[in-house]
Amino acid sequence: MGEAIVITSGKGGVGKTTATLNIGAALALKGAHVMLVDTDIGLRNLDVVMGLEDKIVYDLVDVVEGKCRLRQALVEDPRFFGRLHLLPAAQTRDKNVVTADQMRALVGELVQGADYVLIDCPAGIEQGFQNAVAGANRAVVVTMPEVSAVRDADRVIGILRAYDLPAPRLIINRIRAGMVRRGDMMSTSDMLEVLGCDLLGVIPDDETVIRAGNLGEPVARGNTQVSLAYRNIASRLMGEEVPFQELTSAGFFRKLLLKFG
Amino acid sequence: MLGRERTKDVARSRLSSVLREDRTTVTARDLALMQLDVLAALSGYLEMERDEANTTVARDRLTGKTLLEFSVPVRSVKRRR
Repeated sequence: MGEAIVITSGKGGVGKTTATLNIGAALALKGAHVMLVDTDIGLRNLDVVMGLEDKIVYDLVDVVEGKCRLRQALVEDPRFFGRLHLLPAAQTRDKNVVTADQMRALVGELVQGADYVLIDCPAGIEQGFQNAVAGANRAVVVTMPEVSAVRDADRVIGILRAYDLPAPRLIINRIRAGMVRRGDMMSTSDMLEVLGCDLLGVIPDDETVIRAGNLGEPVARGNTQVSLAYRNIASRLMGEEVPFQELTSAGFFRKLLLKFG
Repeated sequence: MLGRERTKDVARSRLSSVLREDRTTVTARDLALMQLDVLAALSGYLEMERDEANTTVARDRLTGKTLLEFSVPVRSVKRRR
């Protein structure tokens, strides 16, 4: 039986969906069987980030309402040799058509057939959040080096305390090493101090993420710092001790070195 | 560049102050439950006008500290041996 991990943030737009896909892809690359669940009913997005939007037949609500079997609703990502599947959200319904108990049962069924079930939580802390957390046995909070995003992460960490889960671990997304060095962006340690949270990973802000999103592809496979960051997160989730990478940015001296060195 | 304020320091201090506020915000429901518990704890010592009890949690502007204030009219003190 596998583990169910909810990926949440409170604030929208910090990269939950992208993180869900890429952590899932990185786990699949390491040989795990992974199910991604989009719980953002009415505003589904994980399908397009994965490039699977044309392959959806049934969705999460169809499964809950008994219109199809779970297997029929799962969409396979053809790039991962049967190790990565998506359970898409419904697009035409709203969060209140599913209850926390139904989600718990659904995730309970999914973990029977997977090593990892990653639950992409909607923004906010209402019914959609409650549903996404209901079936999880671990939680990951994604934030960004912005006051609003860290504030919302703190709120979500507080709310998660009421659930029977181990302390959530933090992913800091879209860090820019150059700005941190100049004192124009909060650093990883700034955010960890404020939130009092365990770090799971740091993902640099990088154009490749936007390009991959345009193409509907994961970035976890490549050779960039972002790819490595996601693969390290997958390793840490699997219980390996991976040191945190030193983020570099191509500053002036480095560029000079690259030119002549 | 020299003497320019590091904007991340501003971000950190603003963040700290909103979080101080957020973390000490008590919901109306919890406040009501808390008041019931406080009244129950005091009921062995005092006869009180329970309906006029009042509980608030608020930031004190002067000290910057968050204070819990509870008040209740006391009818009489229960004599204990």
